[in-house]
Amino acid sequence: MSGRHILQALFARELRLVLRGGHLMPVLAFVFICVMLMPFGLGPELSLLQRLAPGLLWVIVLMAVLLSLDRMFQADFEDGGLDQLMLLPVALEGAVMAKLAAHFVGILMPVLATMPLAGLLLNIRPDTVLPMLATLLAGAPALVMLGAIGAALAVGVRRAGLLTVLIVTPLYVPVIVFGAGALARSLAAPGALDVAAIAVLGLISAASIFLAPPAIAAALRAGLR
Amino acid sequence: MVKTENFSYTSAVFPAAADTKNQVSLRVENLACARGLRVVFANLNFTLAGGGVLHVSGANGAGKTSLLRMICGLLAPAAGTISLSDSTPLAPQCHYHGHADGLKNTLTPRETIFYENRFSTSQEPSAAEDLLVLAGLRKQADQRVSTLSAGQRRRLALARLLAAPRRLWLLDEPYTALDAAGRDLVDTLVRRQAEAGGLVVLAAHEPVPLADNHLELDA
Repeated sequence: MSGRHILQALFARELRLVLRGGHLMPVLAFVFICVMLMPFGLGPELSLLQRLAPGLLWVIVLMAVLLSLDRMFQADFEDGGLDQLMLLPVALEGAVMAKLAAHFVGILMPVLATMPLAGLLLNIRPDTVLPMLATLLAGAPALVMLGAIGAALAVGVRRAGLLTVLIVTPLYVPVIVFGAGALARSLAAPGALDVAAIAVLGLISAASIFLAPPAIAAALRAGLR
Repeated sequence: MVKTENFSYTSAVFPAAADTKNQVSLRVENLACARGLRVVFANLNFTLAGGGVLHVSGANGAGKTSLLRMICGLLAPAAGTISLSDSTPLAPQCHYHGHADGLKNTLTPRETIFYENRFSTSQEPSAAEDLLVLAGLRKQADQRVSTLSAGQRRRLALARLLAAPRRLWLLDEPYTALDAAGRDLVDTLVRRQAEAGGLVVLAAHEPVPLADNHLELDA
């Protein structure tokens, strides 16, 4: 088997583990509860809800990512899976990418698929659903990659959830600023797409896809040693 | 700063039982292990020739697990070098069978072996069905790993060794939780690996009759 085939097999295994592990339902439940409770907390004024919707949606997606990444490497660390991952005949960076890709497909894609409904519940107009999805899709890879850096740095630490949040929150600020800003402009001019902001988000995501795996691999190696 | 107590081990060259022509040997030179300020062992030197089985023993805390993890690169040595005689990278050629088995509870034994086969660079990995039979897990092949007993999990972890053939096996107390048949399975697997010219480093408290070399670490 070549390295590419090994990574494909690893992706398939990780996707199966994600789908069978019951990790998706708590995240979807979290998103659903957040979206359902927001209108009660903010009051019955629909225009206020609409104005706050971009920021709320981004924060909900961000929190969902953090929730899902909590035990991403911790479980492997505890069951010895991380040792096996390190000894695969492929670069650890590649193995990390395969794991993250499976996580993205198995958890984040379903979360993003619920966003149109979540947006409608927060009173955004139906013709702004597509721009909203485009914005979230452009920024979501960055959320996963940056979150995974925090999860890898906290590997081996008990109850590392809070530590992960503290590590990655500053890294998330540019993504949230550009993401919520682009979404707000799209909602203000229905049907329009803030291409510049989406391009910046895409750039941040692309940069994180290239730069995060070596950082994650280094953090995992340090965590094991 | 590391405390510089000088634990010394006699340099040893462990001969292999099998013909060592064209076989790769494992070379450990001046290896030292430290935990915090405590030196666990130092000046450890040995060469294990192809087809050799090395039994590592020693009291708790003597550094058996650390030695195995250092050999496969999971732990950084405080000093010294570990290499194969053909100078190829060690980590991708190692199987490490540690206290934590690395098995995934939501997969079945069949799926575990299936994926392990695909993680192999070998052109001819062993058939999954044969390995399940060898491990005595044919009846449990399609039930989740979480439902297996400790001994059955151990057998499955051992079956993985053959699913993805690698040159060097590092087995950390492989007899733990195994019944007589399970212990025979360990011996069979180790014998196969040695006969194929591979290397086995096995840490165990009990005697290992099939080991042709023995290294005792001081606590």
